[in-house]
Amino acid sequence: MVELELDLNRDLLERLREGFDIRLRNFGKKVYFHSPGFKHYEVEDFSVKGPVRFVDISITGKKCELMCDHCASKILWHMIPAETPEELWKVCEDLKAKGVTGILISGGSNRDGVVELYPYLKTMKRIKEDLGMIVTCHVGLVDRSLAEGLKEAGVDAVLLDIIGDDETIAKVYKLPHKTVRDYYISLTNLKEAGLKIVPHVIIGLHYGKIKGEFRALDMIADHDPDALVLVVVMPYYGKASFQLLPPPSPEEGAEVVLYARKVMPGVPVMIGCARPAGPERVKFDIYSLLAGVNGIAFPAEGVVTYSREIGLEPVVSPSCCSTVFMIQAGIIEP
Amino acid sequence: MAEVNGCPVPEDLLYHVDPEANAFTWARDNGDGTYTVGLTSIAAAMAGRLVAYTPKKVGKVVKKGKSVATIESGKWVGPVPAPFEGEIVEVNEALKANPGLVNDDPYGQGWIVKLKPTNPDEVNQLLKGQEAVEALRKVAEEKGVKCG
Repeated sequence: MVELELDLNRDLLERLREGFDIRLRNFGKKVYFHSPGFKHYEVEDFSVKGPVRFVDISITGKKCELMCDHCASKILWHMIPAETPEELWKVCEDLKAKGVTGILISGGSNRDGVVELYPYLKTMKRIKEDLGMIVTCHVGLVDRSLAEGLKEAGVDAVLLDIIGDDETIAKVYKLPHKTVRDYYISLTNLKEAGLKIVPHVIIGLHYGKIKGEFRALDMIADHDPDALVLVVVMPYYGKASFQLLPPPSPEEGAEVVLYARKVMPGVPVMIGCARPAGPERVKFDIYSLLAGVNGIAFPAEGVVTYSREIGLEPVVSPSCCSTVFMIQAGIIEP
Repeated sequence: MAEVNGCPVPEDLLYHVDPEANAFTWARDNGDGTYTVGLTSIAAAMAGRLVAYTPKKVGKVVKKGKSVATIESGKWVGPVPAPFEGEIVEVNEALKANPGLVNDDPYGQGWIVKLKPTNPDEVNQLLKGQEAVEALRKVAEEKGVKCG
């Protein structure tokens, strides 16, 4: 039996009710808990047994030219490297033989904030057509040509981090020559190409402070996304100076989640796999459930049990949480 | 001290080795009816650098194989299974601020909990000496675990 002893903010809980009502009204009681295969995840009330179904691949291995303060390329370290189109094909053939049904293709950015996917587009199309795999891409900034290439490749969803503050783009992402407008245009390019989009917002990206998150959500809401993923900055992933900074409190994070729920009432809102570990994670997950999210990747211990206690119906999936809109539409199994 | 693929394995400790249950823990008799429990250097190497430690509460009685704490690294989140049934009498407060102690000093400052056994027979079933070293060697070789 999982016991939760949490000191939750009563005023905040009262306000979260609005978000929970939105989710009940628009999505019913199903709540999705994801455990993609890049990490062994086992807590008392949640684990996914069986073969790995969904994995991440990096087309740059561990390399990233930006080396942003909050990440320093560490997010790439757990991914399977495939640094040429030929290697990508071979990796996917092997994965398919092992029962993997879906992949996320990502990689480090160049100094313009672009993940250079152009040489891989034909291979991605072949992976879709010949291997029948679900292919999602986590990209950086996207011009019209790359958006059209991704559409032509037939990718199932495009994921991208949206930043709503110029100072954060300049300082944290080391892109002083880019602005919020470049991120806005990237969203527009992807939508105009007819792609399914799953934008991500990193809560606390500006050195642990809330800064451009609400504007980023407004930008995303303008583009009618297929799902939204919210993650929380993990200081211990970042550069040395970042590691000493506290992440946003669960209460600060919950305000962003609630805002997202309210400005995108009909969009699946997911809590993604990146967020700080430990007791604060339990609180953030509980607040997020109560704010009306549609699902959580790697839920903290006790959260699945709690979801049942508040009347939700958990659905467990070994896939990436960005695929939730495909699960809801019956295109793929949970 | 014995070594397995560069991972130290003190021969004066008791060991719970069960690959099916992801159990690779040690226990030290404190001589006061309690045992200190920790992860072996092999388990610490398998998990990678820890970033979080969330123990169960002091006073909780945990059955053999059930979780005394949840530990988290970048690639692994999971329970530390109790090597025998017992009551948690102390948790390692230092690990809450610095979970990496488990990697740096798995048999010393990186201990996980102190347990008071409820059934001494279960303590007697733990592996000792060369038998423990060989069981851990098999695990390290099958899983390709190395230290250092």
